Amino acid sequence: MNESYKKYIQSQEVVPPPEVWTAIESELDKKSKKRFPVGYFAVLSAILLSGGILFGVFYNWEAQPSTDVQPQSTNTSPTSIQNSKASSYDASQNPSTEQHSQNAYRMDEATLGNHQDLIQRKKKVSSANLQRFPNQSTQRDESIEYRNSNKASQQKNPSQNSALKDWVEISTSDKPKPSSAQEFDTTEEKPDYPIEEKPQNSLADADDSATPIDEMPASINKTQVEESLIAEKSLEVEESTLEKEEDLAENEIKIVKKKNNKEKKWEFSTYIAPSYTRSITDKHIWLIDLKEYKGSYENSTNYGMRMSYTISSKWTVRAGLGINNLRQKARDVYITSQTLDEANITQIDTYENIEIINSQDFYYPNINPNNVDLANVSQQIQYFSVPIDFSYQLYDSSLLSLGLNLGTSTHWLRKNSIALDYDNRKFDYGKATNLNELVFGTQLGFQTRFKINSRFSFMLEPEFLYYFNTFKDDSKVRPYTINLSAGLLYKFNF
Amino acid sequence: MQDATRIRVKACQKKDRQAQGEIYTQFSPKMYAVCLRYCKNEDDAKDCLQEAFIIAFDKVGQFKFKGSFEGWLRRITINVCLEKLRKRTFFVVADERIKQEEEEPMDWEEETEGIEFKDLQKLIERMPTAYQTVFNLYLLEDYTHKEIAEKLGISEGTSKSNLSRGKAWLRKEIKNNTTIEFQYRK
Repeated sequence: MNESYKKYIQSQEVVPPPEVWTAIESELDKKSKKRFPVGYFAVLSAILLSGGILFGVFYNWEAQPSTDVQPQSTNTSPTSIQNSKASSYDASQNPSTEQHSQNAYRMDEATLGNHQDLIQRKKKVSSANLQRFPNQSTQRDESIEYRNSNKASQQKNPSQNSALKDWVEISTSDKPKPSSAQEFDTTEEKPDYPIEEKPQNSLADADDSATPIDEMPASINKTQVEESLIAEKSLEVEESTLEKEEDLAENEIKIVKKKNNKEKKWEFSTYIAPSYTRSITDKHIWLIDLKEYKGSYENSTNYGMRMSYTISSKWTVRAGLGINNLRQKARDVYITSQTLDEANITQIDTYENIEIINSQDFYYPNINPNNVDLANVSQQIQYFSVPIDFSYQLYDSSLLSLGLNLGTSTHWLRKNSIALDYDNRKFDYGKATNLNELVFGTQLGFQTRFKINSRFSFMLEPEFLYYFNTFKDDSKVRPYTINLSAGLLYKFNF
Repeated sequence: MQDATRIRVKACQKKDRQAQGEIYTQFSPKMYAVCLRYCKNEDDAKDCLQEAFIIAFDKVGQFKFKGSFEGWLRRITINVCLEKLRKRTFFVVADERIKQEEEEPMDWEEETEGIEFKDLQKLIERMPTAYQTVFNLYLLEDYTHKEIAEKLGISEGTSKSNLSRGKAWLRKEIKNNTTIEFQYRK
């Protein structure tokens, strides 16, 4: 090329119209005031807010019913005291669990087993004691009867019974109260008088006749009453202690069970899903411009991950991130080619909703210039999806659980491509212009889990996903996909 | 680089609007001519010019004063035009035999003798876009075939054959027009 011609060309000047600078200034102003992406932040905030509220509500929901765990017995001492008592007991029973029982929230399943054993042992001890000390048992029954009759007597004649009570208290006040060891060790203190006959009848008589204390029947001597009351008190203490300890153990079991349930609230799963795409109203879902051509749907694959949180024994909420692919092909579409002999650049903007974004050099050795040939036009759409589901558990066993999922999903358009399949080659062609960048959908699914072990499950979920606003225009096309997700689920320890 | 241009560019790097206006006034006529050369109509040329200056003002911080600012700006403008061209056109080569054609050497001085630059430019403007783009890039802007192939999304072979075809087309047109129009000037 002649250098002088090059200089001539490069020095050429054409003054542009003034509106160009106005437009540039306007664009520069816009750039300097970078617009806050309100739309995206609104959607993101809504998701985070709803997630936060759900988490907060259900977390509190889980935390509040802790009152159910409080002892229901007459013991109203604080939990810490109860725990310390339990701790001392556990330490005597099984020292290895002492540390665990100091803090119920640190107990594990082993501790739970210990406490269940504890209750069983307590019951055995109690029944064994009763078998070993039948007299004590008899005494206990007698004492209860005596106490009941005494109460009846008090109701009839409060002053007399008050006097009797005072007398008994005075007579027993100078004796030391039995220790816990003594309470259990009553065999050596077995009374040597016929408790079965005399005291009961005498006391009953005393109640009925309302005899003054000075005139108490001789059959009831001081020692008899004293021993009876000691035995009664001893049994009451033992009974009370057993009840308290049983309550404590049961409460701790409840706490541990609750904690164990609470521990496994979070689950993580990954999935891959063959996807089957169709439209409710129109056979050709994406390539509306080509709807006169024969269309077919292509199988695609979706994949992603999910986190789920167990709200209650039946309900679970879960959110995820996924990639959804949708593919369709229009077959035997007419294409034209033009030869370089005529030096044409073919502008294929025949279709209203397809923007050509790629230029491509095609070599068609077998096609005649200016001829018409057939090719397939395939379209792929890929969404970045954020689904939020609520799951209801229908059935649960050690091997299998079944449930229903229902939720909504947000989809961001990530890939939008149209390609020509011609002569066993694929050429990127352009993109569809009638698709919304942000699409909302709803999904309904059936959840099947096969439990591999306490942590891992295999997951199989058929799901129906319906897209609300795929297209910008008033298209009647309403696409949906049916996914069959298969994946692995991991249950966290929290 | 002239001191005035250097000062303006430095001010542009600080987003000085007045300096940006001065740079635009200084270089927009040349850049608009470039746009008109690559685009087929004025609307596209205006769009390209606008986009080129917006990109230039946005990226001016990356300009390190190692070459001429005009050259840097011209590259940006051409790239914008080519991008526009890529979006609008679909290159179709119908016969592979075209790739195998030998490029005939062209004696530029001899063949354009007696033709004014203005007329030559008009002829080139009439050249089919596929040829013209490669012709301009290769002969006027000193792009290599590899660069052209990358910019246009075509193969190097296509770039070479388009240049060859373009030259053949121009030779043919000069010959025809010389006998009809340019002969009068001689």
